[in-house]
Amino acid sequence: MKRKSFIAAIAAMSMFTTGILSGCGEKKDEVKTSASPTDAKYGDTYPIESSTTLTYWVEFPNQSTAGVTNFADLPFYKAVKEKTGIDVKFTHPSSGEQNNMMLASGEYPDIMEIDFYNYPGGPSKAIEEEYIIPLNDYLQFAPNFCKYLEEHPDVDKMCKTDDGIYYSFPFIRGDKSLIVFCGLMLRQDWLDELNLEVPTTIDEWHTVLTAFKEQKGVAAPLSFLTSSLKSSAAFSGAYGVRSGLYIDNGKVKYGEAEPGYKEFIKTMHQWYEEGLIDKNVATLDSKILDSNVLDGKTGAMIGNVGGGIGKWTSAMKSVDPNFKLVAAPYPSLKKGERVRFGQFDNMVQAAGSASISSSCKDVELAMRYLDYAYSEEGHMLFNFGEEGVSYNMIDGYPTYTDIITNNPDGKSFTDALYIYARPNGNGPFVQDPRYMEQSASLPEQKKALEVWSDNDADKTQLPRLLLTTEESDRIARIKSDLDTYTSESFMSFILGTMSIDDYDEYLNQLKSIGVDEYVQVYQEAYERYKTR
Amino acid sequence: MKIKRSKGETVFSIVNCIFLTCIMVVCLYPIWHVLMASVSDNVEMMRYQGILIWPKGFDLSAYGVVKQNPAILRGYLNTLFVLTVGSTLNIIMTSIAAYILSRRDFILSKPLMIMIVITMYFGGGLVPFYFTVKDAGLDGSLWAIIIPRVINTFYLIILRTAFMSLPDSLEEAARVDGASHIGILFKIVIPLSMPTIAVLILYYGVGHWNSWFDAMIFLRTERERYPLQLVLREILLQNTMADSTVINSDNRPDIGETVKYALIIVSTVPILCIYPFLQKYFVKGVLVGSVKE
Amino acid sequence: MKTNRLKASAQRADALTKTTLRKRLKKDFSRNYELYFLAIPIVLYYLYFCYKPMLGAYMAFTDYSPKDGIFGSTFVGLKHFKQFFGSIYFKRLLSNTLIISGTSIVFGFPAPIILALIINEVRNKYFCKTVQTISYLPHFISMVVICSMIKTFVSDTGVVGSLVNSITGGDSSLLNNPKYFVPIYVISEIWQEMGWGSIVYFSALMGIDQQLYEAAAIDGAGRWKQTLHVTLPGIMPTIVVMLILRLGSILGVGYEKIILLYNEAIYSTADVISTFVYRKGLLEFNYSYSVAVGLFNSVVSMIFLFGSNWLSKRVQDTALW
Repeated sequence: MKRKSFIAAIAAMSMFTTGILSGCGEKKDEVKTSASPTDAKYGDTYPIESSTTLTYWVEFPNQSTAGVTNFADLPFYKAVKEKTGIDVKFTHPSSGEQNNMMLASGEYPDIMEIDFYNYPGGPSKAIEEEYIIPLNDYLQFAPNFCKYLEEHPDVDKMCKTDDGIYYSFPFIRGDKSLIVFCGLMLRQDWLDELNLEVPTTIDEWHTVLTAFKEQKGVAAPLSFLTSSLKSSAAFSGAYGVRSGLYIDNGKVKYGEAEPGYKEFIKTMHQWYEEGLIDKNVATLDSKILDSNVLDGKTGAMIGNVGGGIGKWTSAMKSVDPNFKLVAAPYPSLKKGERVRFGQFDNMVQAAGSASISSSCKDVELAMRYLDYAYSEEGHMLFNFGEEGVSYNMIDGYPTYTDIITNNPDGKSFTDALYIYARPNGNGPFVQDPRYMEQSASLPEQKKALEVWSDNDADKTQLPRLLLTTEESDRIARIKSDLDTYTSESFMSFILGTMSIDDYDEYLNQLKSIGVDEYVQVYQEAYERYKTR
Repeated sequence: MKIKRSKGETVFSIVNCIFLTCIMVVCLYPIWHVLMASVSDNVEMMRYQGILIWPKGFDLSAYGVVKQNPAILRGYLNTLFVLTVGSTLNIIMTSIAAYILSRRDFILSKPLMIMIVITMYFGGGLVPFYFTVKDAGLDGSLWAIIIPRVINTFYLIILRTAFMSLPDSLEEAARVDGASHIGILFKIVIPLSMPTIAVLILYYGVGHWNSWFDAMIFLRTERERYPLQLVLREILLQNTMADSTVINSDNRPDIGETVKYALIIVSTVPILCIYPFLQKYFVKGVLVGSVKE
Repeated sequence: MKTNRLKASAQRADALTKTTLRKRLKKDFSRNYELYFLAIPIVLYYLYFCYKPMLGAYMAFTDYSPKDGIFGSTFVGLKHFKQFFGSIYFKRLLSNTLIISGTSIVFGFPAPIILALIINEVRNKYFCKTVQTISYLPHFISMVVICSMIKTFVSDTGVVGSLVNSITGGDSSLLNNPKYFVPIYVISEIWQEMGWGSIVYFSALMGIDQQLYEAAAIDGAGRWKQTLHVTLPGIMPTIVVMLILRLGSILGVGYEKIILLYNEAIYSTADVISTFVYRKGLLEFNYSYSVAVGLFNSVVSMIFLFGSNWLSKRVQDTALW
């Protein structure tokens, strides 16, 4: 009975895998000329006439809010069908385990929205094992997708493997403003009350948090989930490091082993001792964070634009009308210093990318179906829905109609939007910044996006590297030991169960686990990436 | 058999009752908490952290949201099918197996026992199991979650222990009268082991009610066959998924905190009611009168 | 009574070993042919649904790739085992698993038995049924909800947390302190599973011959003595069988509850084999690795199972086989 736990553990791993990148580029012309085995059956114009029905495998997590159980019943996909002329039968897995079992069964649908980027050994391995096909030979059937990649060489680079193979139609964040969505924020009303400015340096943060503690008397002036502290690099950025891997002047570095990291955890420990950080930081989960914020137990936190500012502000509207949040920039050590770290996502996302399987009988049709989303018309449909239904062009700006912003059935903006378009989820299309402008409609949300992007995080962000199977094997043991050791030590340093005097011992342990080899492997992968 | 109570026994009885009452309070609390949370106000619940004695605000809309979901009713029907058909097969097969294994004069019972116990601790993991079920042609049907688990070895051993504790004299007498093994099993052994059979009905029944993993694996594409717990899990996961991927700009719809609790109530309460029905088989001294020693 | 019967059957078995196996089988078949036929579906079931998938454990020695299938994948020998044993955490994981499992056997295993015995002493039928029904309720509440309640209870403002902190002078959630994890885990497990687990003992109690109680009462035995000399021996076979099975799954500490309760600060006592594999699974997808870990668990389980069965046969005269 208990043995099942291991099975489930395996199963759970795949829950977090989804997505890939792909694209076209300079190789395209060469491909086109050599692409004799695949003559076009269908024209470049939609709707396409074909009696073939494609099968499409994709998660559909919000059925209960959408009120239907299949994409085919959504007004949005009805519109897609009408526009492309292609009939698609959707199957919705409810978990990663089902992806694995589908792959294990050997019976694949034509199109799969599954993350092959994170497949062990990378997408090349997935191609070698005949799950998916390389798209290079068929790129002439995806003119819109290719056009986009030609116009965006950076994106193109992230869409292919080191060998130049395209393997999916990815989810692309269409603008820099869509890449940053997480950061530090404070209670504006408390700052006003205490006559304080929004802090920008570590020292100013200390002052503000101390004021919250002493003058507002709150138990936990600063609350955050450890995972968001790490992924956003808040505070650690001031000391010139971030947790995990990053790029520093062309070199791959591992933050936990860098000198600045010691200063960072020293500060965190000091704040913890002074009671500025929630005493329960180790056990904090998102439910407790919510109640901390909403119950006025905390005055500063790390959160998202939507899931943080948006959620908390709207929940407090009826309870405390004074409640107001303000985003703070990623703090620096010295005033005016430019921070090199912050939350920053890659333009191309692993989640939501669609690959074509090896059992697909009509690859051209599948290519054309997926390519539609990257066309001008498809782009509007995927981001805004049908004109006249879910949006109207007002002064050249696609503005969501009342059906989205003030839904007659009382659905929220997000819930309603999911019925008519897909920009608030991921999927094989280019996300439009004008969606976010209307979604993050509060002025403080707009401000937050601005404030959080004002740093050089893009220069230190590790691009989406691909490891070879050999490399994955080399770091397999190191990676799990390293991950356990660093996260455990981090928390122990903050809580003081590990003394900062033992830092050298900590570094030695990192070395003996093999941090150098780990970084080396990624350095090699980075070199390959640069020459893509 | 009225036994005169001593003073010490009276004190013991009182202490005992107090102790059990404490246990009841402690054990009743979780379900009470869930019930109170499900009728609370959503925003109040988000703000609140701690134990609930009474609801925070009062709002029944969570149940409205649950009612609207068509998958829930379908889930109920599927689960009901699996529960009745599955449990019946479970009990029949387990009884036969337990009977065979409980025969002391059957020379294969010991090797069979070892062979069966080993399966509790050895396995090949999910993938081989999946292929085995698929090869049997069960993939995609509700039978895939019934047949491959028709005998739970743990329960089988419990039942075998019960069968073994019956006096041999009964069965020997029946054998002398010319009764067949099947006759002995269904006419003597099972009726005399009703308390244990009732426990197994409960264990198997609750097992079917709560199971979702097999359904998720074998009914991947058969959404209309999803049992209740899988439907439920899918809805609940919408929230936890959003939590686990903190870096997520996408404003995935967030089902309310209270809806989660309402779902738990709706999916738990029916199965809670089966135990009181089975309790009537818990009668002391079923053996009295049938044993002539 | 019971011991005599067992001795008799043992003697019979001894006598049988003197004849050849074939003769014995033949004789047994003529007497029990019905059992042989009844055994066919059972054996087929176990062979097909349990033993056939077991062959898949071979995956532990390969780099499994679905395209090549279980037996076509590249053979890599002990690679995955080396990876697991080579982790700097192997010792800690093993000892944490054993400590958590051992503690919950020592304290958690007797709890349902004691509950069943206590409920058995209640004379009022309705009270008895109510206690039974209510005590098994926590088993039905989903793990996520139960664990969030536990976290609330032991937090610095919670019922248990503030009580313990006022004695020890601590100021944060008990789950920040490695030394409290095992007690929290075990106590909450007793809370969740005690009532549910007691049902099986309760049914065993029903099978006790009531005449024995009357005889004991005539001999002047009070309730305590009756419990000791009649009730306990009556349910002993069930207790022994349950204990052997429980010991067999000594490494089977599930990850689900721990994942929901632990945090980085208390890995030193809370991180067990299954959680480590789970976290590793989040980083990489490696089927063969977890099958290898599962295989290691199975081997340990077998040792404990056969060991405890042997021991119980010698000490108690009751065993699984």
